[in-house]
Amino acid sequence: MTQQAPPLLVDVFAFLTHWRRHKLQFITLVVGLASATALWTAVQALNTHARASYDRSAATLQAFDRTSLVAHDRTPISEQVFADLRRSGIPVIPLVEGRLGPPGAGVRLVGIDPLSYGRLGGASVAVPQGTNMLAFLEPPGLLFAEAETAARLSSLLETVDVANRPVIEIRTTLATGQALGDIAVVQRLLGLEGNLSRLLLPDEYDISGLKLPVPWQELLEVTEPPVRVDLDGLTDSFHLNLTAFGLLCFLVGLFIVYSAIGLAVEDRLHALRTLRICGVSRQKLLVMMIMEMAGIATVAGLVGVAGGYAIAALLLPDVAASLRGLYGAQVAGSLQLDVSWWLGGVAISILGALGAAIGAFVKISNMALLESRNVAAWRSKQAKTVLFQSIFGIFFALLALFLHWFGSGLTSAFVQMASILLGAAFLLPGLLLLVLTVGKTAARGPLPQWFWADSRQQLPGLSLALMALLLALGANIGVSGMVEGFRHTFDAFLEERLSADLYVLTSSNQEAGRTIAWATQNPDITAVLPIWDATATAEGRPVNVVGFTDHTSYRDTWTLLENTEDPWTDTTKKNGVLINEQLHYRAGLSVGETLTIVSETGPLVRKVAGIYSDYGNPRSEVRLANSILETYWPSGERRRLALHARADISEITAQLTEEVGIPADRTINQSGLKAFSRAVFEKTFAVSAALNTLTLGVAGIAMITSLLTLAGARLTGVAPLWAMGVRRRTITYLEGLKILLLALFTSLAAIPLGIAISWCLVAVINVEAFGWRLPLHLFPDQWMTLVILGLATALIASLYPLWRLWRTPPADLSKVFAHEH
Amino acid sequence: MSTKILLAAASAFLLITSSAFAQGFAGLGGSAKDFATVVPNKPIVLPDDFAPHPDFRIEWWYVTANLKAEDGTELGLQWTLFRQATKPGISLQGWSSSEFWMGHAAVTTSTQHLHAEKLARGGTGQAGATAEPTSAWIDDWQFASDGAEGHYLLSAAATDFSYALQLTQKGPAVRHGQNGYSVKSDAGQASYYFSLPFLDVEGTVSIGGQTFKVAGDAWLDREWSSQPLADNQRGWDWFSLKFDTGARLMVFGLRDETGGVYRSGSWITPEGILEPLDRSDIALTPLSSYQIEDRRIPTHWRVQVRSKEVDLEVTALNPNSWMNTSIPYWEGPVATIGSHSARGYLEMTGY
Repeated sequence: MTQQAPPLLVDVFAFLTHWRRHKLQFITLVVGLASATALWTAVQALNTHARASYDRSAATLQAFDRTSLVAHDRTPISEQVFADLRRSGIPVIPLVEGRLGPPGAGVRLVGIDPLSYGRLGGASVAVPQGTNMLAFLEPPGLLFAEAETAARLSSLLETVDVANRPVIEIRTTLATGQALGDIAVVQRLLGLEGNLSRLLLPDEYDISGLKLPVPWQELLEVTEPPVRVDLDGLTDSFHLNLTAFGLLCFLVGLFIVYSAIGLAVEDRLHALRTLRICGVSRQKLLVMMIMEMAGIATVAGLVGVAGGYAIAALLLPDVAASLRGLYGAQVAGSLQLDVSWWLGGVAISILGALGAAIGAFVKISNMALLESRNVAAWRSKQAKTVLFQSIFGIFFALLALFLHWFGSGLTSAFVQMASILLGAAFLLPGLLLLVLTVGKTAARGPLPQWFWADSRQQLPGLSLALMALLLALGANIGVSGMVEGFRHTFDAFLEERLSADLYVLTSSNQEAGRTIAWATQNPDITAVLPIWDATATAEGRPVNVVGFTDHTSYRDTWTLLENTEDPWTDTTKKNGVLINEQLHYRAGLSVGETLTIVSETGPLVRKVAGIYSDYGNPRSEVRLANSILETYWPSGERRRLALHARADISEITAQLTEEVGIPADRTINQSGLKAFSRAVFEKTFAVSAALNTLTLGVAGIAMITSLLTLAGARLTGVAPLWAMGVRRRTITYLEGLKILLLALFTSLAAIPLGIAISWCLVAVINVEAFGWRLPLHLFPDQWMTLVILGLATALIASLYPLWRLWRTPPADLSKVFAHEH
Repeated sequence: MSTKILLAAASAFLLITSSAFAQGFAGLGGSAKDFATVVPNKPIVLPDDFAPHPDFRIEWWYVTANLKAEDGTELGLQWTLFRQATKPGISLQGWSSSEFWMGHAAVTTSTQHLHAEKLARGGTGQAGATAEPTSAWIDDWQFASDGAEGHYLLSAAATDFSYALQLTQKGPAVRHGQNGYSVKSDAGQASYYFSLPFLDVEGTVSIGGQTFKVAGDAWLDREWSSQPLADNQRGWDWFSLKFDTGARLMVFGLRDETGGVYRSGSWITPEGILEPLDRSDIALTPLSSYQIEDRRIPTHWRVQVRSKEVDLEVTALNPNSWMNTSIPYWEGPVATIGSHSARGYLEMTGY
């Protein structure tokens, strides 16, 4: 007796046999979905990982970089002060720090008392959860350091006797060159028993109410945390652009999926009708379709997440390096692969697949039972769709324009960019059709005419792949343009802002005064330019007030975006003020308009004399003469100095340490900072370049799959040519030429699209997100490279299909006619 | 204080004290190797024994008060300092010390229970205690003699409450058990234990920016040991009651894991004469429970001392007096009805 399979299984089996016969379509679908998911996952993984890492590291740093109490002369302070202050109700947190080992090869040790952090919130960051607290606190104690520092530390500790030698544990959250341990352990190692370096004050502590008990008020002073080079804004921008890139990659991937599904449905209509005629209901068929698509998408999503992680892991060192540069350290070297990531990847893959298949589902649910399979008819219908595509394209282009005029906010900016991309993609087939029609009209002779006509006929089948190529190239041109523009701007910005040779951050107004006196006497120093700071409100928003002293270095190097005739004299001698671009955008202030700044001593009314670009600064800022700051902000901070020198900078730095007592870490050597900043950006570019290549790779996959699926149909197109005596080799060349021609037109179309994207990134998204605009730079040599890349992609993608065509046995070509009835 | 910080602080103290408090309060039964043992017939000397005992592993200074504000609002107030050592003997100076201190402060009304915690290392002077002048402190929280004999100041401040009180001793110090030797289990675990149960209180309490003038009475406990609980004991229910007649009652029951309870207590006459109570004389019966998260806490009790014809129903002023500190427990003011009218404090651990 034969065992009969349940009817549903038979249906499903019949349903799925399609893929067995169309392995290529199946592969196309999976590859498309997987690569879309992979790129999306890679970008997301990099973003999340980097953010999480530097959130941790920033938090670790913030745990120590707080307002502190220190001895006037910066010498260690007796630990008795800690108990005295605590008992008088001042919630100080003790800290001991110092260098172990020689400069350059040593390790900065930081000793903390985790129990004192009860009210500060830093302990959980400083001492990671899961630490054996007793081992941390009790002799010989623990020291935390990242791997490289740990190795250095362990050789430094070899001379310490075993009973006092702390156990070193690796903690990736710590900065290179820094180790953290219990205060008692660090005191012992540094020979600072009974002493403290600083007493931290919690953020919420109101410093204005600080009254130090006798005798400490004589010995201690308040010092503010060191000001870091604020590049947060730039980092955010970097991440935002990565995200936009990820979205583009995904879109490109979906084009592949869309084209594969469309073709698959067309190929299957016959089988689906048969199933319907055999009694499978429409609903059941749809459910099966959806289930099948979800199944394929799940597999592809899993492959995609794995691939995405591989990509992210490859790119991570570069991302880590650039962020280490920006933040002074720590993006952990290994990626975490959460369950949520797998789920997220699969979910986006399923959503993408179902989204791309909606059209197909609608078609199936509406299909008539009696209509013959006709791929050619589908293709001709596709040709008609060029019209619809163009209408869509115009719609999106109009939407982009509408948003340009009326939109505001980040979401609108993103929608605008998406509209530009989609509009361009949908307009492409119509544009190509136009070009090919012109070509055909101009062509003379039968073969050229055939060439153009056949290209036109082939266009609908290739249009989705070409759209993907357009998007990939457009995005590449756009993002590379933005990145390259960023590099130029940043370089120029660094030159302009870091015009002095040495920047000094003194720890107090008094120390600044001493430093100025010292520097004025020093023959090697040609100019001392104090930079005072204060905060205020202007136009109802908080602003930073920066004071400067008139000097040719400002007049010569600073580029203003808009200004009066003599902005520097207006600002320093007259009633003027310079405002940053952020304030200009936020308050809608232009040159010549009046600005009221609410100072410490009352309102100050000034006229805007100039607007300066201030990349990466999240805050609004105004610049005034130092004398004005001193008058209107008596308690302003007078700690920053810019020095111009004729001697060697390291010499000056050494003198500052020896003669004024300013440690080297409070000075910034401009050439060092510039070199460092540039290195950071080189790394950032490396990531962009890698992502560019990957997007092009996806477009290449789209091309190859489209060409392969078209290959069968091509036989009908070229067989008559062969029959008329054109050699297969010539036919192959012609086919290749056609593809290259289409790719060339597409690549050329990508240039204006790229410029539009670049503009959208620097002039719309960046302004909406961060309040400052990057100038739009154009890089024609980059475009040429990308056009060549686009052609190369198309060529590589067409190699295999063309090879197959070339190798087609003549018998197959003759069969084309045999099938014609 | 955010939950995260609290957790961090809690885990810090819990981990530090893990060698001693193996499982919170129940861990008080853990090994006390190398530390001094509590023995009978070793008289408590005052004021010397107000100071810390470095040879013992754990000790505490504990003040609870029942107060009334001018508008009639009933309040309870707690001030506690714990000392915990990981090694016996005089500790090293500075942060190398093997002593850890923990302070708890709380204010309870019928609708609010506010509490705070402070942690400190020994050896720095941030926390400590001295006998002369009588003083115990952690940061700016302190219990200290104000210079005159029998007069003390008690203060604590947290973000949402603070208090500053003057305490006046109106009766003698009393020694529990056998002249201060207080047995905690059949296996012989014990502590040294004395109290100042007659303290009059005046002062101010601030809750959320509102300041109340208050008056009432307080009870100070001083206890030290190295291993106060037997291995199988899991927690205790402890009552201190101040009767309107002037008499005082202290009773506790130590619960073991088999459901057995080791009871003990003291009857203190209005003149301050202490009579140890026989365990068979005491009955402690939970009447109803209050749910705090996943714990059921018996905040309603029947307390009987047959020889003194005491039969009381004890009710919490605020059943939600949960101390969500590093080592969590229930501590709050209570009042009684029944044979006597009294006010006092109830402490329940190990739930």
